[in-house]
Amino acid sequence: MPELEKIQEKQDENTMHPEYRLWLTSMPSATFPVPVLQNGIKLTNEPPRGLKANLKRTYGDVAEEDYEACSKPREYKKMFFALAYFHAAILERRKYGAIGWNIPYEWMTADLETSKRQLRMYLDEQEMVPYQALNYLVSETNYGGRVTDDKDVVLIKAMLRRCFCPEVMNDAYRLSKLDTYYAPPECSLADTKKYIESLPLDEDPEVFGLHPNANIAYEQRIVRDLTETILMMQPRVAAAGGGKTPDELAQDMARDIAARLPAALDTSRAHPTTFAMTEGGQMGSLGVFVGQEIERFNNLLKVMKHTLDQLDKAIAGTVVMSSSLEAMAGKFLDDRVPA
Amino acid sequence: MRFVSGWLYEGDPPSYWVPAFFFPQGFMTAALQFYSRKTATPIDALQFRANVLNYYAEGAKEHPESGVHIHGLYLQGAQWDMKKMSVEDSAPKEPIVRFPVVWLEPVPVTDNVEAGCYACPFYKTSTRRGELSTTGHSTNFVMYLHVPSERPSDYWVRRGAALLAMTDD
Repeated sequence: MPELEKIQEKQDENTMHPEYRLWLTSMPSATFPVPVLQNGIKLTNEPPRGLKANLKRTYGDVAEEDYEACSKPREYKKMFFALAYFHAAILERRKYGAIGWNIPYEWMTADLETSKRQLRMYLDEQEMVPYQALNYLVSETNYGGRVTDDKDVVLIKAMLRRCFCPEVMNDAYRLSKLDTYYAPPECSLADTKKYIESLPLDEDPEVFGLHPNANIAYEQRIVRDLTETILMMQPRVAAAGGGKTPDELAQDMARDIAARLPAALDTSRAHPTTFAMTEGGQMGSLGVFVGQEIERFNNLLKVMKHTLDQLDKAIAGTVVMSSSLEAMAGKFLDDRVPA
Repeated sequence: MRFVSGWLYEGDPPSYWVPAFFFPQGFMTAALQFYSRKTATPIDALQFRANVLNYYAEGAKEHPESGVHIHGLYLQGAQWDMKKMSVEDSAPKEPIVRFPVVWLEPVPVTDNVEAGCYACPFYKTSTRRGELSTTGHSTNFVMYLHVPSERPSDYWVRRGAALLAMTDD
């Protein structure tokens, strides 16, 4: 990389060929020389957004002879469309946040490619379509290998079951509740692409099996990101003239909250049934549990009281302001709950 | 806070407000153990059956004959139909709704509690994801509640339907 930088530095505009252009392609790299980057026109290639764009890309990468080569063309084409749909759907589900996936996974074209090859192999080698084996391979091995949350494993299996099932061979079968999305009847690659072209640009959450309400979650997320950016630009230094400074405001709030903190819970004044002993002389399980919870509550109160007190003193200048205290004061000013 | 102090100073409440707890998993185990000791059954042989009741928190007046009542849950991605007593699709513009009181009834593990039910995951917050802590519990996932549903489980799984102990606001 530094070598490249040197070559680029040595180039002289006056002596080089007028038609000279340098094309570079690179994966994200930390060692990429900045001057080279600064002197060029940058293009980035990002995975397509939206189900339609995703399907289009998948089919754009398919070679005609590959598409027609399977010994069970009807089954292969149907299943391949279902696979492409599955791939696009699980990727697009990520935009809904936690209601889509507990953890947003980075599935890649390689997962799709492997699944595609296996699909082809299984169809070529076996007489029947091995739905069960394919379901397992794709949802638990290929794609599932990335899934670390056990609830997401349940989900990915449910997603694929809708695509890889014997019903998909029926031309009237729909891949979601909507009428628009189905594996097209057996046809040429060009015709399949034409069908994809006819799909709507914006998809309903129903495509992913989600309720239309999921869009609310998605939009809320976007708004939250936006307001957070706006908040970040909020000036922290008070304008001149009148009013309290941000420091004073934070101090007031710290004192106010500290004054409103309830007193620690006192277990000695407990109701007689709460910690009732059983006949064996043991404390009831629920009593033990509430005791533990009370302990946690009292700890929390202690910590809150302590940090609020520290913040008050830090603003006054009697103790050193730490970064965590400063972050807390910042959150107070934004009227948000500190982390 | 008010809930826990009420429990402390005034005795067992008829229904437990789960969001008040730091560690709801512990509560579930304690409730099961309580029953296990009372009836002298091994705790490993017990599980909870989730009976969704036909009233909300205000209606909880009495202790159940066994197990515990819990309330304060929210259902995201679906709603509870009081007439049919089952999980149904959300009404438009209502992504999160209140969930009725649930009676967690201890039953032997040999009982099938899953028939006709959706194993609905129950999380503490809407972030849902959590890390495994040293005790082997997730920091967010509490348990599966088997709630009655007329539709197949896969449908709700794809819907992303889950119970939460608190909403975002």
